[in-house]
Amino acid sequence: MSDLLQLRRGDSDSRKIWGGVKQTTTPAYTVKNLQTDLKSVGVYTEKVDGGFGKISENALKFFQWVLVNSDAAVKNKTLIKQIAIPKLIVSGRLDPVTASHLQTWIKNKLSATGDLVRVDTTKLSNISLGHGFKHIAKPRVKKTDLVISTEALGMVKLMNETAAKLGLSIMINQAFRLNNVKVSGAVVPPATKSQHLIGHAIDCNIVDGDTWNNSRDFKKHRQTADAEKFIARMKKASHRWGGDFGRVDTPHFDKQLDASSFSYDAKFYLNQKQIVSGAPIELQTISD
Amino acid sequence: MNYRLFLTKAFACLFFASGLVQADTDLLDKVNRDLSSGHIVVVYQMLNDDTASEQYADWAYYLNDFASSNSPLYKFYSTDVAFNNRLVENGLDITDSYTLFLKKDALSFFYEGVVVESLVYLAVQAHYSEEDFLPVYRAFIPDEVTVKLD
Repeated sequence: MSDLLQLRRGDSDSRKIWGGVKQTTTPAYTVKNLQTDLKSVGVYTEKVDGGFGKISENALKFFQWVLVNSDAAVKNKTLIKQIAIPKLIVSGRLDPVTASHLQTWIKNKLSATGDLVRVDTTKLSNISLGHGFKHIAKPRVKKTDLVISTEALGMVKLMNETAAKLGLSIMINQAFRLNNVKVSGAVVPPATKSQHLIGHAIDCNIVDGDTWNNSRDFKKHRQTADAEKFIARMKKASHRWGGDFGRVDTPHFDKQLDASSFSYDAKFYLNQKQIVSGAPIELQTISD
Repeated sequence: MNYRLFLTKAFACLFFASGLVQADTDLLDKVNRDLSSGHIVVVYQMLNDDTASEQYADWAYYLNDFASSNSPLYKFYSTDVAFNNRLVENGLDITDSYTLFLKKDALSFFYEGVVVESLVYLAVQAHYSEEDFLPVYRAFIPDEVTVKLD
C-alpha cells in the first residue's frame, strides 16, 4: 500500500489510469483490488471489472459513510461495535485514511450493516401492532417485533410516553418496509423513495376509547382532542405528521431524512441489505 | 392539399376517439364480466401522481399487498372516463381519489379519498368473505353505496 494512488471515478485498470492520471507502471493496488475489497465489506455487489464508474464510487462512498456514521459492523454473523470516524470526508476517493480502514475491515472480516433494531412491542405499555400489521418474515424478526432505524427509536419512545400520559393506545400498521418485494398480483408501481424504506416512519392509528382516529375521522374533523394533543407533542419534538403533508397521510409519522441526500441512499442500501441478507438486528428495550 | 391534411387529421381524431371509447367500454364490460363470474372488483381513482410522496408510497404498498394476498378472487382496475361517468349517474361524487368495492348481489362500498390504512381492505374482505367481522372493522369499512353498472 506504500505506492497507494487515490483511486477515483474515471480510473481504469485496462486503460492504466490510476489516481486520475495515465500511469506507466501498474500500482500495487488497482481498481480491481478495490472492488474486491469493497465487495468483501459488503458495499459493492457488481462485477469486479477494473473500471471505476459511478457504482464503484457509490460503493466507496457507502463505506466512507459507514465509517463516519455507523458504530456497528457484522463479524461472523454477529453484531460488533465500532468506533465511528466523524472527521472523515465522504468523497468517493480512496484517500489514505479510508484505505487504511478498509484494510483493517478486510483483515478483521467485517461487513457493513444497517442501523435497524427490533423493539419488542409486548414490552410497551401503550403501543401494539394493529390487525393489519404484517411482520417482516425473516428468521431474526419475531412476530411481535417492530423493526425501525436506531434514529427513529426516540420517536417510538415518545409515542409510548405521550400515549400513556393521554390514555391513548397506538396501533401500528407498519414501520420498516422492504423495497421492491416481488408481489404477485401487484397492481400499481411501488414508490421508490419513502421514509418507510429506511425505517424512519411509522403508520399508526391513535386509538382514543372507541375512536380510532382514522383517515376518515381526520378528513371529517372528527378526531378526538387527545389525538390532537398527541400529534402536537410529536410535532413539537420535530417529528413530521402526514396530516400536514400536501398529499395528506394522517396515519403517518416520521423522523425525516432528506430523500435526495446521500445519507438517505446509504441508509436505504444498508438497511434493506440488513434485512435481506439476514444480518443480525439488535433488540432494543424502550423503558417506560 | 389542405383538404387532404384535414381528412388525415379528422381520421386520426376519429381513430383515437374511438380507441378511447373502446377502452372505456372495455372497463365497464370487464367489471360486469368479472362480477358475473363471481369476482370481487376493486376500481380505484388515484389523483396523486407524485410517486415520491409518502401518501403514494403508503397507498401503493397497502393496495399491492392486499392484491397479492387476494388475487385472483379480487380484480383491480384503475378507473376511466366512461366508468366515472357511470358512477356520476349513480350519484357518486368522484371529484376526489376513491376506491370502489363491488360484488354481485352484495353491498358495494365506496371509499372517498386515498386508502392509506390496510384495515380498510381487511374490513371489506371480512365483510365479503363472511369471516369474523372484528369490532375494529366497523371504524374502517367504507360507505355502503348502490351502484348499477349494466
